[in-house]
Amino acid sequence: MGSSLQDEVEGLLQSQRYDPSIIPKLEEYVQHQVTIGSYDSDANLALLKLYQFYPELYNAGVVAKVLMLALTALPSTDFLCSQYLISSKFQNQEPVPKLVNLLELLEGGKYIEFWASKESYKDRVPAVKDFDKSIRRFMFGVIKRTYIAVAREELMGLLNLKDEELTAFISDEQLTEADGLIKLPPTKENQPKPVKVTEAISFREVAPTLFKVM
Amino acid sequence: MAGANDGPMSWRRGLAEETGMGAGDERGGGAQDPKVAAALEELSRMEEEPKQFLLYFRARFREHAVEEMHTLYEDNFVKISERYYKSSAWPSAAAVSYLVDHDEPFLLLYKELTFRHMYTLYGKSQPSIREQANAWGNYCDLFGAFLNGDMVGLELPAAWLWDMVDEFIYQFEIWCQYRAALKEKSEEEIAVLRENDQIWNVNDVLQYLHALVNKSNICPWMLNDHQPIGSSDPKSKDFDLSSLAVYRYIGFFSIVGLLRINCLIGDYRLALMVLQSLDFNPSTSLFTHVTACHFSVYYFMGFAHMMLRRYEDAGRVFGTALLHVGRIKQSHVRSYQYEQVNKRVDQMLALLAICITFQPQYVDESTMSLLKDKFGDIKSLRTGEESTVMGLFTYASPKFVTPAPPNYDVIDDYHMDAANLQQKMFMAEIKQQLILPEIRSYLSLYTSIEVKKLADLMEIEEEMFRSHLLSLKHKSYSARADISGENPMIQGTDVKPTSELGFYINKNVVHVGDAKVETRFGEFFVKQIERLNQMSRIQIPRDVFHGAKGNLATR
Repeated sequence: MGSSLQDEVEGLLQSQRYDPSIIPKLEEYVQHQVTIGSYDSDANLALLKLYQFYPELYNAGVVAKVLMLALTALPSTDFLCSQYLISSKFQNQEPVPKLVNLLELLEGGKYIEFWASKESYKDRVPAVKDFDKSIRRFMFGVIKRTYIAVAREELMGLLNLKDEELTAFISDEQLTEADGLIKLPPTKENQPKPVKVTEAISFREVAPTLFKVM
Repeated sequence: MAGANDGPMSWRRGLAEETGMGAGDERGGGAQDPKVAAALEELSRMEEEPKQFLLYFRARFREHAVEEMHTLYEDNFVKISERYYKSSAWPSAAAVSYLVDHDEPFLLLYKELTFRHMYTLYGKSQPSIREQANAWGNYCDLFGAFLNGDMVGLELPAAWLWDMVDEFIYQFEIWCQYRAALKEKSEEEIAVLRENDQIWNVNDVLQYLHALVNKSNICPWMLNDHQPIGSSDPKSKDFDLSSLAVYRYIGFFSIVGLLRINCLIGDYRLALMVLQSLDFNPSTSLFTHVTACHFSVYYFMGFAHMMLRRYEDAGRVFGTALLHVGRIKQSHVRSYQYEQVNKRVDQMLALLAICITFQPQYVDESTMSLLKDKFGDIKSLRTGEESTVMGLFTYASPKFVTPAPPNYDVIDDYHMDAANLQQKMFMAEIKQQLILPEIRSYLSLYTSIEVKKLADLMEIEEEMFRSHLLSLKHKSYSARADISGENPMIQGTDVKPTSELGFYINKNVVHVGDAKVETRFGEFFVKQIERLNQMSRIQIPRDVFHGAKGNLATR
């Protein structure tokens, strides 16, 4: 069922990308993504573009869902791309400003504040399946690049996990813990080695120059 | 290509009747017909030199003398317009029709030229609704002629075909601006606007461009190593339009048109997607055939990258284009497009300044000195005020448009909405970014320091400081084109670290490992080759030599 809707939408985008009559199908598809926890940025951006062309068909509820889904896609720039397509008139309509605020908190590294705000918006922004999990995945990606070792309490705060949840998280991610300090797996960026910036010139580019001189 | 639509649409054919300028239906009409009389009267008032010019132009057009047409188009037309039509429009097509023997394809092109000339007469103000509608009507006819295959067997200079597509989008921009500024419009004008939603409709504009791309078969041509896949015989069943230069160019320029229009409406991702089949090899790609097109491609491509926060990609794109300017400067001083190209160059310099502020990166020496001439010390931007960046952005960004009609029931000026939105969003990003160079410079002072201490030094709370560090990592990690890949200018969504400053936190201590930039040999070699070349006095064509340098330096 899921994949057939996806195929159908893909076909519509191939043949009728700018046709407003495909809006209901795209809206149905957004609902589908929210319910099962899948994500298709191309289809969602195409929908926002149709709203941009036909503002009378704009549906604030669907847009909120698209933006929530885009948050789960961080660190990709999907949210940004979506925002560019929403005209100023609609940018100021709730819940768009709330969702933009959530984005700013996430991008600004203010994770603790993010969880608090998200909680306070609970009834005013749409629910998306596995939302917290996706956000945590994004956060942990950034944390992994920033820290080589992090205090347990700090990580609990950043990821908004209770003590036993963090224990489960640590074992899921196969992290090691000693004396309240959690060691993070080595990545290219959390190592003491300096980054090397090298020049990359292919022979193809140099060849004509050399050839001419010889 | 995304959103391609080659549905069974029937394209308008023949001269636009509703424009009131149609000549087709009156052919052979008696002299009693008042329309004919008016046309003949208008023709009789026409000066001799423009008349001779048109007759000569048409003759060359019919002989397919492309090179001579290029001169007639770029030089003579401009000169004659200056001399005879400095403040008025060229004679109507209805009148000229009697001069050129009712040559319909030629008249379509004549109208395109004269509408374009008319738009320039307005300067800062705008043509009337009627004039804009007529110009739109002519574009429908003109592109319709391409799409119906009527241009098979005709030849046109590449520069003209480029200007055609470029002007098409420019006039669309003008229309969107015009229609959204309601305050000074009369009730009557608003009523006309309300009823004429089809004029310069964004959907149709996109459809035409997509259809031209598809019809011309340019994408398969590019993918097939610049060879048509089908036959070049118009009678053959698998006749391939990409075997004709006119179709190749119009199709290719329409791709660039799609890039531009998607930037204007803020769909930067799709803007880059349409470029996917483009070839960026400076010695083979079609965009190098027309200078203005060349810079348009780089300007809009770089701009889209920048808006998607791919500052490094944007910087590389602008850098490549700016290096190219140095190369062509002498030869293009006199060109018709010179001013336009110059403006794009200045805009790209401003955008490059923004990009390197937020993503310190290597810039070629000669470009760096251009930047210094223009903006002084780039570092001052980094510590500078938001308003400086905003000024640069406003100056250097394209003319954004709102693609949908405004709300005619609430009279207001909406024409700046799109620009304000893009600017507001960009500045929000700048605000987030501005703190980062400061943190970066504090960090670079130490090899290791306690988080708390550094926070105190910067006079912010420790928790806030930790947030900034996370943000710095997040922001210095962006999608970046894979420069070793097939299409180094756009491809690749690999997320890679872009910062040259490495740091990490071990519980409460920040460790900083400065980036080590290895010696760049490329430039050194190029200099030595240049010296060798001078010594041995071997003549190397300028473009070959500098072409290689451009590529070296952008790596």
